[in-house]
Amino acid sequence: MFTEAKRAKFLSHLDREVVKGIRGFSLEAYLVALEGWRRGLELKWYKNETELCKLDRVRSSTQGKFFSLANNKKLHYFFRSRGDMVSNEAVEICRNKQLTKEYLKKAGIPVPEGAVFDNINEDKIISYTKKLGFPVVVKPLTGSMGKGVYVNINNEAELLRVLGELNSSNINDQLLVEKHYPGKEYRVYVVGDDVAGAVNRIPANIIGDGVSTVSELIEQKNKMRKKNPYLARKPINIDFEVCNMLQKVGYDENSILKRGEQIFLREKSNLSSGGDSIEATDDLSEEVKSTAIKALKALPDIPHAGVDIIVNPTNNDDAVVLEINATAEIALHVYPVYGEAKDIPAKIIDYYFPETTDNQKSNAYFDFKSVLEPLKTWATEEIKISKTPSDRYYVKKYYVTGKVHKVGYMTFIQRKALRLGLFGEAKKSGEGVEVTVIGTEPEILEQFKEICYKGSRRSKVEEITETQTEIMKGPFQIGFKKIL
Amino acid sequence: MKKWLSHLESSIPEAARGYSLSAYAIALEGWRRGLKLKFINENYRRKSELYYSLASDIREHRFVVSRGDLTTREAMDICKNKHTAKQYLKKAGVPAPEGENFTKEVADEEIISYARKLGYPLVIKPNDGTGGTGVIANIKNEEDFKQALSYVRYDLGFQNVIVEQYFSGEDLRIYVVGDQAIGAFTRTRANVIGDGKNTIRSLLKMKMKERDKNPALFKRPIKIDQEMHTVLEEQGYTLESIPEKDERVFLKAKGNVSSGGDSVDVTDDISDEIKAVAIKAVKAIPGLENAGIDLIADIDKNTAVVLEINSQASIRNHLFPMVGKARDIPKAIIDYYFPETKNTDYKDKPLYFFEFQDIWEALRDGYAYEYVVPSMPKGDITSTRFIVDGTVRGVGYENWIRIRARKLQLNGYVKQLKNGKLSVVVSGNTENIDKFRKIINNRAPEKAEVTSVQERVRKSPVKMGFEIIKNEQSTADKGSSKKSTSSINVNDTVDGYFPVKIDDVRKPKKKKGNKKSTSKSTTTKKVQKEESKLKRQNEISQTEKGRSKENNRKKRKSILSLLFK
Repeated sequence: MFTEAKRAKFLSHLDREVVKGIRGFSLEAYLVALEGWRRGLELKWYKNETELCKLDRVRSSTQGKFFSLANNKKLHYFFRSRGDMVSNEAVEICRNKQLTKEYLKKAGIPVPEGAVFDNINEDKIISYTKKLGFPVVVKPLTGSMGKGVYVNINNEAELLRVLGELNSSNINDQLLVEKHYPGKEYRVYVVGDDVAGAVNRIPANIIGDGVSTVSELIEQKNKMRKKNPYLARKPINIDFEVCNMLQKVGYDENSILKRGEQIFLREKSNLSSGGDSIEATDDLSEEVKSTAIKALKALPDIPHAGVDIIVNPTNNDDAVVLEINATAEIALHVYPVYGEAKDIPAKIIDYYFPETTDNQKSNAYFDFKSVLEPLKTWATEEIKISKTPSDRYYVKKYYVTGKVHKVGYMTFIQRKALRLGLFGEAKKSGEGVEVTVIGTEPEILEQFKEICYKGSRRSKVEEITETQTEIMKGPFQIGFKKIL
Repeated sequence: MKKWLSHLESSIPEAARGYSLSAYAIALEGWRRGLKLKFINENYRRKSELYYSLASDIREHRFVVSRGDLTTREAMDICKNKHTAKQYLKKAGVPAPEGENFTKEVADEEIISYARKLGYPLVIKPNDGTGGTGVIANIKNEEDFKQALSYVRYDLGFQNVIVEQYFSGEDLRIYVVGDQAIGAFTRTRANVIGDGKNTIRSLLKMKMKERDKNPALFKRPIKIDQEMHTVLEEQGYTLESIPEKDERVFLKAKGNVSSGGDSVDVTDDISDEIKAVAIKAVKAIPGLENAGIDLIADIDKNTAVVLEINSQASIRNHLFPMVGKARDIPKAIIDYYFPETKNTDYKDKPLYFFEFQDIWEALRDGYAYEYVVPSMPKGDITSTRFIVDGTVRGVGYENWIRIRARKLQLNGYVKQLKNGKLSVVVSGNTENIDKFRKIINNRAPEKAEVTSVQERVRKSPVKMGFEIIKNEQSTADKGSSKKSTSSINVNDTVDGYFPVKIDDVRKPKKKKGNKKSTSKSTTTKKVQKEESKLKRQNEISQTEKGRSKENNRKKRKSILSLLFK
């Protein structure tokens, strides 16, 4: 179904190395923060929400997710990918799927018909469903991440089984019963008057190669997912549902799939349970895009968010809006499984700081994991990130041998480099030390050789080999690290 | 013997030991009074010289080491230039040694003739040196003077020198804030005191253990070297001798604290007249508010001369003297800068301190520009401790505890004890402590099996945050000791501010007699060393730089040995 050519293409300034080890909701925050910082905005991370700004934090921790960006004119706070231009009222409305629908309906936006039930009253639900007509969807009113969501329920028997399961699964929430709409589901990210990206999610699946078994194919797929910063911690686990699905099509774990044969392993298309994200902005018609944009305008003060829609398979211009995610994930657009990445962070910053749209963007990034550490342990209240480096950068490497281990050599190099405004690293390598310096002036990089020679008081340098000074291409980390 | 400040004693994390202690202790005092504390990255300074700022609602002040921004740039410049400083002192009638400043253009001959005029004994020192580097004291005659002059000017490269009168007497450091002398200390050479049972070697070991407990000092051993052997021999001992009870045996010739010397608090022993000299010295420099004054005091005559004014003095030896009472310099400084916080007494409440390693790393590695330390819990606060017994290891209990503590915004730690039990320390809002008490007494994660929970008193300070400690270690000492040792290296420079007197260094070799054999053996050893060095040099093709450096070092050594004869 999908060839290698259609495989994901990430943005070069947000390659894997830049976000290495940054996962989950912290990644969401990091992507937006980094974009702002790269444009020269002042970036501060907070342990907690500040007294000046209380963003609805959706009952989540704030460390590494709460930050501010500022220039000399204004300051904006962010929680994950959501900025302070999104009102807390809108966040509250979005949390309640039925309430959201009422707002949308009032604005003339098509939404699935449905009703809310305070508790699991089987008789009431069944009689309502009969009126509504199968197939239906049952989901908790305020849940998120696809928990407790059952789609495509086709008859009374299936409905009873779902209600039974919900009854025993301890979900203390009101239930929403809605008409099920067939058709492709999209997560559309809207910023202002534009669709910044749209992703079609499909359930966990594998494609045969004529040689590998099902479990081998799953393993391969998981390996691939591991390379995707967004999906790295969302593998396909072989569980009851997966075995059930295999059985339905007459396979087991050891079956060998034909070349090009695709089988689905789950019903739900959630990415967290192994689903694939396919960048599909171009699939959407202008009409559908405008429905998504209008949906946000139907709510009070929510200029950017993720909109879930289903497009009518028989009419490309027709779609229903399922829900609005005020704190939507953006990493799935930046790191899709198939298709070309969309730069949602840039769109968000464009919206908050339109005056920076044409700013020259630095290729630098900072060590977010180190920033996170003291925030997570509550060791700091607030960290202000060093100024964004601008201009063109050059890189040069020195390999130094002699008495350079355990004599304060690397510390010496580190301090000297930082004082000269250089970035890079000093890395222990065999008997010597490999020094990488990155800076704006090639002369200073050349002169750094003197410093490498001098060394710390107790060191004794014997020989230095060096590389040519080159223009720094691609992202690089600010600061200067010692790597032992 | 010694009495430290109880609110500081176990509040110094490993990473803030040594040179960094001055800044940490002052920052801590301000922070404990509720001031907003942040560390600032400017020019990638050394760990001990990081900028920090303290702010109340009405003012903000920036500090570096013990110097605050009320000290003007002008005052700093005056203090840095020893000659200018002396002129200011003279003008204000503060006794200071007579002397003259010579720039690099002045020929040696001229300086030598000035020395003759001034009269011996004399001191030579660099005009803008810091620490004790290049200070040669008690030069008694012209021959010695010539050698010392050449050593300071050409071997050390300090071309601008000061020649002044030498005074003998008690070497003092007095710390002045405003118009008060807050603390005074002097130093003794490295020594041990006999107990009539142990050998000098084991007394030394005990001494080292004691020094390790002193946050003002790095965990560095007192080196057993030739100097020690010589000094002992002079007193008629070897490392295996057993000195009598209460007998003091000196181990080193030099008095710096870093080579094992002890700092001795003498604040209560020195007269008001001598203290007044120090206070007057600070007043003599316009724009100077607090400083450490080096003086030589003549105790019998009750007079003192001021040698130097340190506007950015270390205060660690006042805070953790090896002998005598600690003096609360941070309190005096914060009182002076933030008088509105003078009456904030935090000492009757549970105490907190903060980790310094994170701050240092964030600034050292260059990604952070400002680092704000979270404020302490306010209002009604309690600290307590629980000992938990049962199947509580490797079953996720520690993590579970941490999550509960975090949710209730409690600081503290959970630590594995040697006896298999867990120690849980929590500190914070009293209401939340009550909630936590209920949780720990009634609940546990699935796999854990708690057999008993006992509550104990927790009095010592608690570090901010909540951590899981795997093995037995004291919390104050906790922290990434491995990391911190590597970052200390760079600070491995000359310690202290006290001039190294040629007298001190010379003493052991002054007395002749049975010493000959040792000096012989040292020289032969040295020759062997030199030979092997040469061999190595031949083997390795050295860079030009390296070689000239080596030559310099050799030259310096030979000059030194000349001087010491």
